[in-house]
Amino acid sequence: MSESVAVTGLGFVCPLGTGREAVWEAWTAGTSGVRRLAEGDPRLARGVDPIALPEVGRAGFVRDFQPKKHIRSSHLRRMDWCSRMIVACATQAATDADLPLGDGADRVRTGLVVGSCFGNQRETQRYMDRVFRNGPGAGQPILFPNLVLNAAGGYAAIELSIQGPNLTVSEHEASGEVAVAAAVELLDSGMCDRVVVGGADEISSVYLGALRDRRLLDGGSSPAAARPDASRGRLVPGEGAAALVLERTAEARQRGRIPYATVAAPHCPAVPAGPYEAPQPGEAAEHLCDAVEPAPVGAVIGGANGTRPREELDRSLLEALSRRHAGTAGYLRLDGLVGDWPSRGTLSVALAALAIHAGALPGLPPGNGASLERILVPGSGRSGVLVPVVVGAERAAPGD
Amino acid sequence: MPTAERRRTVVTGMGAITAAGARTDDLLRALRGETHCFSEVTLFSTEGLRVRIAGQVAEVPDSALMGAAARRRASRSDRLAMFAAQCALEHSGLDLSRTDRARVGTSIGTSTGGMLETEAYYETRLQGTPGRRQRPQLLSSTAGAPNDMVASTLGAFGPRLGPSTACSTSAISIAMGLAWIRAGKADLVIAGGTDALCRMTYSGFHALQALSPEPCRPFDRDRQGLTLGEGAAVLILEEAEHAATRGAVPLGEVLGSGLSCDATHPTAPHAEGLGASQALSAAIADARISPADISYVNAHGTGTPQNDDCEARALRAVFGERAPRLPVSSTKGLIGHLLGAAGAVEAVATLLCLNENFVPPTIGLTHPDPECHLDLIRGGTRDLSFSYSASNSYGFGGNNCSLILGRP
Repeated sequence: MSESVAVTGLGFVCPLGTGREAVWEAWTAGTSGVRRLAEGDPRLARGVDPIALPEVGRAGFVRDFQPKKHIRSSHLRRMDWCSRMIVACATQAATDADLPLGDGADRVRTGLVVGSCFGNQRETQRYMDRVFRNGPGAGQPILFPNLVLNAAGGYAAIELSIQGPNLTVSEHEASGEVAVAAAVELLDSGMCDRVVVGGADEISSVYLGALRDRRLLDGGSSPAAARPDASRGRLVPGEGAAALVLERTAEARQRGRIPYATVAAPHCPAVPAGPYEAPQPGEAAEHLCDAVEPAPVGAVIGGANGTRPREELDRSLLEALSRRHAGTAGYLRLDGLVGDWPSRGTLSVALAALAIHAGALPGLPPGNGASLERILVPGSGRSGVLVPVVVGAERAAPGD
Repeated sequence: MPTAERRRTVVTGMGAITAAGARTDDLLRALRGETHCFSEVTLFSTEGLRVRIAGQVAEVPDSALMGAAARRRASRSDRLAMFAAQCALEHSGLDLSRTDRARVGTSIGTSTGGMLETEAYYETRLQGTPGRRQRPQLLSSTAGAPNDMVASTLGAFGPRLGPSTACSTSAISIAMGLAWIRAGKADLVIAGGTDALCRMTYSGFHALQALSPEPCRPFDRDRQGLTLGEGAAVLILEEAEHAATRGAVPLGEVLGSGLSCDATHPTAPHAEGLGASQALSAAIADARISPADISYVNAHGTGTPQNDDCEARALRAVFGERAPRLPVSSTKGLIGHLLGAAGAVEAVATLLCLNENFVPPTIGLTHPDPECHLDLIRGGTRDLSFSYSASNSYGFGGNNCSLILGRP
């Protein structure tokens, strides 16, 4: 039996804002981080060219983020956008958790996990454009080290002096949830005592171009949905990062930390699906329910993003949950608030922990039946992979 | 010296496709040989570069297990992984249709995944709006794609992880497979790594002046850098009782793993090899043996002046006075640096040697760097019957992973 794992620190760099307080304020105020874009928008100056702009319409760009306020490292100047987001929110989470990193033993026993689907696409495109324009000898030595997917994890380790296991994982739309599951795995296996886990993806021209080519961009006509709706068929792109500090609950309490929540990543067998194909929603929903049984789920922060497979999965999941337990689980989707990016699951887990701690899940209509005892973030990627993450209320230890 | 009982992880099948050939037999033959497998790169233009060689795979056979649609969408990295996985499964004698597939995990990592194919999109994009044919294969371009391809094609429904930690990727894949089996989360794990050559990495290492103009010479006094390679390796990790029940003959055992991060520089290793020695010490402790039990080290040994120096320091820190008598070699002089596939290929190479009672030389090594103070094997194979070995992998981001492999 795995030990209880607690969330003791949180960090955010997302379209809702930067930092826990700013995000909570925007979330509770019902402010959306999704904005309508116009050509020449300064937010595009960070390396996103307007290739797909006419069709983008709206997007959840990160704003009000000043990396210098969060990152001390002399490497800041060289860091790419994705790395800056991860390093900043990892630093926030570590500070929030008062993570002990003062001596060698603590540093070695602390791990770091980053989930990202695409990593640093903007600089990759810049780098390759130059190589194609000027020949293979035109590669830029200053950019190249940033192009590996684990660049952000490396920078975050330097910033925080984290010397334990350092993983970067990628699992399409479940990249965020897989990162959280891998972090729990590192604690379960005894490889480390504390883990900083984050997920990040950025908006890039390549990403927008691919969405445009597949006619998946929401041009701005659809209102934000509250429930799963398979008729939508289009998504609002977004970008952002979130980070959590995870540690064994007993050890967190020993060092005087009051956890935001607990987190568990029960194993959930994948369902048959072709390579890179989304899982069949009905079967996937049943698997997800099986994995989180027997206790009921009070609320779901879904992965719906406007595309049919993910809308159908959330709908099937809510139906399956209500069949198994009396009452309906509360349902929250984030795409109207922040847009969609493949590792958004880490943000969902972090927001769930924040909501449990605050005793309120903003954005739910009154009388929605939600309970904040257990919030499910149902990660689902390609090729049938399913990664449920359950965020639960932390009960006071006996004698408290 | 076992303490608490824990589930043991044996290796019951291996597949490796490298510049030496598409099969592990080809790799074994090359390990016994005395020449490298490098040739001029033909996958893309290297015009104008001072270095034009690599350990390129001559032909990537399609796995018979892949359907037509999967073949169309698969990247070269996917196809390399799939072929290695098929070979490993055949080698293991496993019939997955008679196995509880929810207990079969997959942990196959990559550094650059489908970048070779994604580069075609970047190129056409520069010429205008790409047509339908040039649209980016974003789904196969990601680092999670090869793992998904293997898991989905083989119908493995257990734990799934696609690590991407640069050149330590596939050693970490194996470490995570070991953790799953020990924890009882899986009985079988298909673990390994894959990476195809691509313009980005080739021009990048060239820009960093890390590529050797001649075939690389790890640990040599006159080494000038690394030679890139490509390929994939997959190991079938199996819980020992599970393997025994079906009558499988173990080829080796994964006894321990150690992971660490230098946390000092984005690319350069820690000057004293601190992170590397931490990873190796942790792996030895995890295996519940002592440094004195290790008889051979398959080094990361890239051939860059910095890496080899730091790795030698790490080995001296862990093995102390015994270091100058410790047999060490690197297979990168033979097949190149396979980046995300390196750790798995080197684990396969180590187990092949363990079963044949020899250790391979470092191809290209003629004048051992006197600063290394190690028993660097050169000039041909050395007969050696050994029970425990270490395999080191280090990557950008200060990422280190050591594995302890042994006789079952």
